Amino acid sequence: MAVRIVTDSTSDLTPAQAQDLGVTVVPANVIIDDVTYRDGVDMTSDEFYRRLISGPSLPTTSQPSVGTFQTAYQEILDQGDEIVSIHVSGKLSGTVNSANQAKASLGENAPIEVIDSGGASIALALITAAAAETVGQASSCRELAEQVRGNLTRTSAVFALDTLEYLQKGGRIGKAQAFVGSLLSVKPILTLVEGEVHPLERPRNHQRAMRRLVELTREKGPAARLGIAYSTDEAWAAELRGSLSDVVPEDRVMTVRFGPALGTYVGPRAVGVAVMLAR
Amino acid sequence: MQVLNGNDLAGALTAGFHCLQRYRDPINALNVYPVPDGDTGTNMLLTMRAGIEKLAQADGVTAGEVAFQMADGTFWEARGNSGVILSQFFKGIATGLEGKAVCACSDLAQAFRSATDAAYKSVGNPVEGTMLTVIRFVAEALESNLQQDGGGDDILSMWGTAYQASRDALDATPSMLAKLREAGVVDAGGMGIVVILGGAYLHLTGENVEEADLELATAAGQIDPSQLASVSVESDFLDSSVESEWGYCTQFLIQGENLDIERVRMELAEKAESLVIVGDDRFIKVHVHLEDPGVALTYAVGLGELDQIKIDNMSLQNQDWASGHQERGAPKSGIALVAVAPGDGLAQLFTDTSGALVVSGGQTMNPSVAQLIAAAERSGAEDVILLPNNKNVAITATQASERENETQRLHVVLTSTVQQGIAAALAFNSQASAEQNLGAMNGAMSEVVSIEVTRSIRNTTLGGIAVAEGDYMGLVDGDLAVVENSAETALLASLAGCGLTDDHIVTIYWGTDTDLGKVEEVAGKIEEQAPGIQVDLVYGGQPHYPYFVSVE
Repeated sequence: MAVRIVTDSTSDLTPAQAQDLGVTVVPANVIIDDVTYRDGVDMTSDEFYRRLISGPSLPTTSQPSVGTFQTAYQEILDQGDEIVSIHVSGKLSGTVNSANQAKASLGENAPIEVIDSGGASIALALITAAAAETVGQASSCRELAEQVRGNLTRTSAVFALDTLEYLQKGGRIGKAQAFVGSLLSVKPILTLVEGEVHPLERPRNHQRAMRRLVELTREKGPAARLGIAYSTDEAWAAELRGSLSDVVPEDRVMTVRFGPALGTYVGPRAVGVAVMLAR
Repeated sequence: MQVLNGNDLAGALTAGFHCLQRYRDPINALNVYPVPDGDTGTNMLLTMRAGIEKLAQADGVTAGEVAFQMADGTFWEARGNSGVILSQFFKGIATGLEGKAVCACSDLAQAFRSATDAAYKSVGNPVEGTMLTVIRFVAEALESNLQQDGGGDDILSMWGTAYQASRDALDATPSMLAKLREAGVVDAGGMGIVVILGGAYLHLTGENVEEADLELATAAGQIDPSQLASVSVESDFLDSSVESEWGYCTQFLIQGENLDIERVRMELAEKAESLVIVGDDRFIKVHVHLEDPGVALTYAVGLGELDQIKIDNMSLQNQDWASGHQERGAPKSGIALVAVAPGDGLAQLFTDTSGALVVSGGQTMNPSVAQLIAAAERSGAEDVILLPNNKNVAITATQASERENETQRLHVVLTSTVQQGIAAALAFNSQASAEQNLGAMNGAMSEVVSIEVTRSIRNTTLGGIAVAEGDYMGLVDGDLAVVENSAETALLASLAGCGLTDDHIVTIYWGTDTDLGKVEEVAGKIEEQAPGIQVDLVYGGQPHYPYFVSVE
């Protein structure tokens, strides 16, 4: 018996990263002009952002179906393994619901632990990666789940967006509504608090937003892991990585790209930094 | 005469108020800075009027009660630095006379001592050579008079001592304060105190205040009696632009025969608010606020010929701002901002960036304590942060924040320019605590350099720089930096002293009379000076100042 890890595509792990970590990724759905695409499977990120920026209608997203989870879970259970299934914040998506329903359909005693990470994207990626590294030492899904839940409180992220337009149109703006204003250009910095989008600061331009992301990250304390995310500008991610290169060793840093599911809400020219603090 | 009873004191204060009314314009003219600003005479007059109005309702009460009513009335209507100091002066007088049926010589001395203490405490950084000094000189003269006189029992001579001491102190203000000396003026607020005490003294000695000439001098020379207003129709008519912002502000002149002003006042009081009605049996000037201006006009046209009709919609802008606020779904509880802003563009900006409730005002229109508190109450929030955005409004905001209220706490971030205010508003986060916000907002405002460009309204010398009437002055963080012959060159010259780099953000808030073409041209020149710099252009709509600019 082994414990296996499942996450969803909002973790923004690339297929290569997922394979390295030994993690199963269940894709969410992105719907553009009535056509449904599996996040990270059916459409490249470049193609997605091109259509997001210039397309006539905004994409929408939907959680993975219960059936998709059932299939993924069943495959693992069939091998006699247990499952820790770690997902995007339940306040942003119904993914955790789908996972829980799939678990219930597989019987009361199915060895599956479903965890609401309260985060998304790079924060979810860091939590998943940390779990994947210790999965071999876990004797049961319950034991690993305990450990993952302990990591949740140590993990947080800050994001700088180019505009709140996508978050607002997508209905995920949450408490960052207070930052919506159009007369002065600002690059809003947001975070997630209890799984919900929460406003932090409003620097006046991109340079200052980048500087503040670095400062806010450093202020959190000694880090164990660091993650960088970007939507369209890889160079900005590299710049953040460089600015924070002294914070943790190189192999403790991950970079991901906001995939279609999250890209729909953060929009182009977004960047973010997640940190898992040292114990 | 050994003591003043309540009626004596009320009569003396009312006479002081009338005298202040007479001297309003000469006091307004005593500006140190040659910029259009919130006039000291008007601010003191509006502040004092609120106290006098309360006295009119309280007949036959004790001296202590009269002083209390003055303090209470002036507290709410205090506006501008001089108004706030005046309201604190009355608060101190009230403390000194608390529980007294009559005011004896020793009581008067004690009252001026506590008035001095209260006035000095009302400003963060007391400066000598101002109205504070005048008040203190009076207290000291009364105390020494008491000691020499072994108790003294002539209240008239005591008041005469007070008045004379205030005059001596006023004459000394230019020798105490360099900027007064340089501008060739005595202190305006100080003159206000002298005039109030003088009017009261004349009344107590049985003279007619309405034609009083106190023969006061500024450092530049004697005040010409022809500058003094008569206490009649026009001068009684206070600037309605600083009144509350509700309904239609409707003004007109009724011309007729055998007009009954008391009856007009009574009948209009049933239809309208904010009444100012003055005149005689042939001319009545009316200023009222009401929801339908037609009601007032229809009423008045039955009395005589109407002239000088002026109607302004006071609530239009407020409604626009309020609806913008609603759409944003800003929380009713929690924390909110109240910002003072002098233009429609700036007001919109505060509402847009932070959901702030905006009180119209600034350099030329100083809002009252009551206006700030009313806006705070409209927000319904538990914590409200006030942004005065002007030096002349700062202590009004501080005074407002000291009001005790169980359901709402008021805080102040002491922004002295609109530019600092915008930076603070951007740092405001309705999801954070009051303490976090105050920290973030104070930090944000301190990172802004504020430039203001305005036109000199007279010839003067400031900090050694000669300024001619009509020159454009560039002020950097409140200090005169450059004098030029166009607003644009004044702005560019002021910016040249800021060491601009491509890391800076320059935001230009252009005024109501500024041409957008010129704004864009000047922005282009700034971009040439510091390639890569961010220059943002925002319509401010402020009067008198072609440019407010922040560098951060």
